[in-house]
Amino acid sequence: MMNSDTLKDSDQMLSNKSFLNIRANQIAAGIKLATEIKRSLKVYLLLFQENNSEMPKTSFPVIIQAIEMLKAIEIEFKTKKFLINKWVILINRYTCESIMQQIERGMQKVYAMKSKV
Amino acid sequence: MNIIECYKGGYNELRKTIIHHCLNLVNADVFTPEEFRHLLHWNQKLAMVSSWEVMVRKATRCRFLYWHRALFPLLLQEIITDRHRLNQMNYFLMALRDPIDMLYNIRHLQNPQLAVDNYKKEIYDTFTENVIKPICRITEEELRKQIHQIMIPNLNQINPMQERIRDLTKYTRMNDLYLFEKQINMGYEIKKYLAEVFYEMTALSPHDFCTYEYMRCLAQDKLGIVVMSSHLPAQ
Repeated sequence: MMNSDTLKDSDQMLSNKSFLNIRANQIAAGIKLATEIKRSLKVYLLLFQENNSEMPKTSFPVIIQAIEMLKAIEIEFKTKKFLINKWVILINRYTCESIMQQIERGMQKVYAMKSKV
Repeated sequence: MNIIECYKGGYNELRKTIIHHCLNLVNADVFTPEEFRHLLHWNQKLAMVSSWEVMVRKATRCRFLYWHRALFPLLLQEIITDRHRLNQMNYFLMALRDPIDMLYNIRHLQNPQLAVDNYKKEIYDTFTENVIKPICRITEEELRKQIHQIMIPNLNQINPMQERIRDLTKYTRMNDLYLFEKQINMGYEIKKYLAEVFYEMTALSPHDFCTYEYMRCLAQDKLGIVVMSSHLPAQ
């Protein structure tokens, strides 16, 4: 997921918009994955608690794996904090630029409508 | 501040609110549904990437485990029986540390430190009872079984072709574990336990000192554990 070893970083890549897009998607995917795992785990545990039913032994490895995955994601983000923060500035700039282009197109439509009136 | 200015420079909560209000005022004549969907997607991405640290922290913290403390013994027992999971135990122990931040916010006690200490004590006890003690006992049992098979002639021998041999080195070679502020080395824990047991047993039955000396040698040879000598006089 967050394997930056497969995509080696270099300063040339920082001006590459598709590289920034990939990185932004990776960050988002990591956060979404962690949120999904945590939600599923919490729901799973609470369902047993709510129904006062005994948890089967076969579910323990799954629970452990979910916890391990959450912590592994946290560590992965922590260790790559410096790199991520380096990209974040550029990703923001790139995203803002795309949004502004879109808004300006919308504004031209508004001005055209106004001139007709 | 207008919407265009909000996208210039840093992105914060105030700017996020302004953008949100501005987008609420946009009607279908300005953007097509497709364009508007793109705009919302980019805004969501911007918000996520700008505050990724907070979001990661929220998504990965395991404070909820505090309410499922009854499961900890069972989960720890499960971890020690799975040899592939032993060196990943630190992840689980990290998760056990998360409720502490939550416990510092409690108001029903005069000092929240009391609740934190109680929680830590509970976890230490659970860990000792379900990880350290069983591993030490298994190691002792295995050493004892092997030595007795040699020393007692009529005892049934283990046939390695039929019965599975336990690999105890997986415990002695485990990575150091970090539980709250403690660093736990399983090899050292086993060594301490065996030294204590061998000393007590030799003191109780000095005529049997030889068995424990053999067990000590076997532990060194098989597990790489140098158990302290009892220094008791032999009978």
